[in-house]
Amino acid sequence: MPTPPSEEQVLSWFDDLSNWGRWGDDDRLGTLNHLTPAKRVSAAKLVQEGISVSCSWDIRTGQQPGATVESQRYMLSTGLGLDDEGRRGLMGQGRAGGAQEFIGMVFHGYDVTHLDSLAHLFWDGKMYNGAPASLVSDRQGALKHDVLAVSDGVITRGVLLDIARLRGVDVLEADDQVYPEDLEAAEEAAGVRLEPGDVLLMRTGEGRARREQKRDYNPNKPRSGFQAACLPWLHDRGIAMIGSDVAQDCSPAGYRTVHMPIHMVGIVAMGLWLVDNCQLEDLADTCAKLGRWEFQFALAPIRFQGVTGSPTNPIAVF
Amino acid sequence: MVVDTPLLIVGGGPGALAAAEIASGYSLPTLVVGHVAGAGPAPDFPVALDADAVAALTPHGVLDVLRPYLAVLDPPTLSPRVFEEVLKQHSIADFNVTVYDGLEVEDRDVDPISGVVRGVLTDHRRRWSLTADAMIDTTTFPPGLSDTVNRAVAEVVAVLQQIRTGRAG
Repeated sequence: MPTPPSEEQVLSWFDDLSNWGRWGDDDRLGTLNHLTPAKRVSAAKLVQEGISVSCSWDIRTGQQPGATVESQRYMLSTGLGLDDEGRRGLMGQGRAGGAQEFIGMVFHGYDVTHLDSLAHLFWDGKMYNGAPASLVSDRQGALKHDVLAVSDGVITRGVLLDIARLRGVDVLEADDQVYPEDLEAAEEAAGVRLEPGDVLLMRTGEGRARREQKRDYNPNKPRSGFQAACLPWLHDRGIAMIGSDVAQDCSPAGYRTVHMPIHMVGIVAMGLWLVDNCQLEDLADTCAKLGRWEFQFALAPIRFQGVTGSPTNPIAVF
Repeated sequence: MVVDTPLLIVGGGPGALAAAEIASGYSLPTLVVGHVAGAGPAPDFPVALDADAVAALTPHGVLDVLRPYLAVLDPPTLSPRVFEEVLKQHSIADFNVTVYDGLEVEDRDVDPISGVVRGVLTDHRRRWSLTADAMIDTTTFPPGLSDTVNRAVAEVVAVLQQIRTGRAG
């Protein structure tokens, strides 16, 4: 197993891997600056079979394992009671009806597939590009780095690196952390190489456990994920966005002061966009069936003003 | 791998999560191990928080987190189970707090001078060496909600003092 970087080394990456100022003082895109129009055109050419695959879990209301707060549904109108006396109009029984609801949720956490905006995390009181954390307030939400930065969506080349498949296991053990060497071995096995502007999806197999264990699934446990050592690799390769079937970081990460280094260094210093809790089981099956691990990747967040991310349904198109 | 955390909280109950949230308010990274909600006496019976508990939970916004779930606003009244479930989910989302369910700390050894804890974190399949600057064990906390919150506050204050001085109280 590779030697993990020291805590001092990880902390030094807040400076050494920083993209602050790289794309201007007002930059809101961070690593999505690697995604060029030419890249989008090139990614469109990966659509050959006409097959699309969702990389998201269903969002369910009620208490779910891993949900920060249970998602709430309040029906404003339903199909019930249409024949009740009080609901009949003066003109007789109405023919038109309908249903609508209120939905409330905390999408951050270990349940909902969601995009973290660059306003989601702070380090030393700062967000990405040096914006003060105080720009995220109770009254107005995120005045800087909200999810509207990606209103036009993310359309690019996606690559699945299936580390569970590489290891020949269903689910990576919690102490089997993913290092750059593993990413490169998976690249070689898949016959692909990550390039600037790509989206990297990394599978640990945790989604299989989640699918099989249903409501008994325990998300609050040690588990595999990207080791902090992947940060320089992601920086050097110019990766635009990462997603995985966990919340990116392995846990325990092994550091006292920064226990989610992929989140902290990635979002705050690099401006790296993260898609947490992807459902990669269907994608892995499709990749294996088609024998290719690259595809067109499409993600469109909901245009929430002042919000620190968005639930999302990333789509892979072959 | 060695899991090295400033504060380890074991023992469950509402006090464990109150302590984690208050410690987080002081930017103290905390590991909560093996917490099970609703394990205490009368977990579903709403009880009013006393003035000391309210004063303890108000800083750092802990009472704000609980407010939507209160059965009575003044004095703040809620059941221990609701207290635990709400604060537990909030703790999980807190970047200073790590929560591991279904794990235990074995072979625990506490240095009587420094208060430093060494042990083994295990899910009975794997084992991680564990080191903590300080530990709060809530198994001896009083059963009442206010009493356990007030005890949690006192313990966190003692831990902060211990970490500052390098000596257990």
